Amino acid sequence: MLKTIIFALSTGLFSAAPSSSPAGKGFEQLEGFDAIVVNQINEVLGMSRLPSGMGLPVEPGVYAVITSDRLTIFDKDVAAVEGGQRFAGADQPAPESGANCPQSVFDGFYLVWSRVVDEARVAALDIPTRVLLGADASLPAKLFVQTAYAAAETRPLSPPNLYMLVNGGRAGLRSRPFFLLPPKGLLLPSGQRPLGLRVTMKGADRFSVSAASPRFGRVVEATSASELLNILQDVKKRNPGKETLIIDASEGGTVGELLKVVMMAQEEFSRVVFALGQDVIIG
Amino acid sequence: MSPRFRAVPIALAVSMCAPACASRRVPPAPPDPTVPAQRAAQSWVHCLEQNGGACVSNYQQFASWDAYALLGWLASGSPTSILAGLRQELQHHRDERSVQRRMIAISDAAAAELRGAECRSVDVMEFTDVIPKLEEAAKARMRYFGLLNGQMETIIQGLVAEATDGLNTGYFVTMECVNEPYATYVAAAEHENHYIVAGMMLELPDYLGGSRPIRSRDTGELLPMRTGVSKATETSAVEGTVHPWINIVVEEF
Repeated sequence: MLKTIIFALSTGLFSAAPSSSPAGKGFEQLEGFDAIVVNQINEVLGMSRLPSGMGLPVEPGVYAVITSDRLTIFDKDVAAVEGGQRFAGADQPAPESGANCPQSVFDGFYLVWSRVVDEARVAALDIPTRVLLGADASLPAKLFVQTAYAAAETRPLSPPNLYMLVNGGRAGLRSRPFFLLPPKGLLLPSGQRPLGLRVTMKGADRFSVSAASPRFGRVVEATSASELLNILQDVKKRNPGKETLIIDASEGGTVGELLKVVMMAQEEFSRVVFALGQDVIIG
Repeated sequence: MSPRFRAVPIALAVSMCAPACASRRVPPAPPDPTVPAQRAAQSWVHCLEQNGGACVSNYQQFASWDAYALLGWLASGSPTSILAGLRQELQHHRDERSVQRRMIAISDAAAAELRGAECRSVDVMEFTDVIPKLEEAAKARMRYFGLLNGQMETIIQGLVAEATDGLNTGYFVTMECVNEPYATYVAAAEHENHYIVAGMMLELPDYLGGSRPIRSRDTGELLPMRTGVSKATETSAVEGTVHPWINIVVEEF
């Protein structure tokens, strides 16, 4: 009898959106997912603390939020942030992490993926392919990128598609896609004349611009965002086919500045790759 | 209380008891009701080690355990998976054969992990204590996610009633193991005056204060995920292929 009641209810559960399959919904169509993430952000951080910017609609995946004192994945606290500057135990990287992620963060994501994999196996669900990361705009960008590496290095099978959560104002919660340089760096074949353009954030609106290709020449310094934009526009004129910009957060800058660089450069370089000092080698 | 006053009740008790105690034998203490449940759990693990899913019979208490497991999923599962899979999980729950098949699959998977783990029963919890905690945890979590509407409350109440129906006289038996996975948890339910195993899990859920070990106690190395998945670790981008880390054609780099 009880099973009948539950079944009757379940057929109407989350019924406003069309189901993609007789068995249930795929991750692409999960109605209410963005509301859950907004709830979580409001609970631990507040939408206004996210960096502001435009982005894509939020699509379902694993989500994590970094505040000035903790990292939460879904609704679980997994690591402490000390003084809004570093993860607790940051000097103890996980031995398995190619990007030297703090063990607490690495293990936290490993646990989440382990459970998600179990759920997927038991309930015949897909393992999420997206990771959505939200962070207080004033936090060091390094924390954000370390978290992204931990999420990516621990996912089974292959790294996920990564998104930064942003406050889209009237548009609500939005997301910006980004990539990561592989944890041990990237070797590019020379045949297509890659450039490997990199902006290294130094903090307080200071940047250096460099490239893996020797034809770029010496490192160029910028002491303001507008100066950086001029440099990037100039590089684009000389390399019109290049669309990729590496943004290195290993030396400074905040999450807000990271998004600022992404948005400022988007006209010239539509694909952004975050890094923590990983090399790009052309050969 | 002074020694004098303390002595008075003792003296009274002795004087009142003396005539009766002299003529009656003290009845034996009633048997510990948890012992048969722990024995059933121990036998179950031994059976699993040898026969895996073949140990699974078909008891109506499986449905109660399945309801309990569903509540546990609401209380601690990933919200993304819950949104994606709740409807189909409830449909699964309605199907007795599906519930039994899952029990077999879980037992088969657990058997591989428990072989050689040397597990023994160390603790029991009464389901009458555990189920209310689980109900509260499931409701609190759904409320946190903004999913606790009337429909969800009815589902939770239905699952609680079903779990209680078959497990209320049963025990949640904790078994500690010398080797990985270090612990396992077995639900022993009463069935026709003896105990049978209605379900099991390899980790203690959050709502009971559990945490999953992810590193070996001996070596500190990560324990493998249960799917045995591997990682892509390439560093070289090859023309004409998609790099697992950077889905960008080399020309645009």
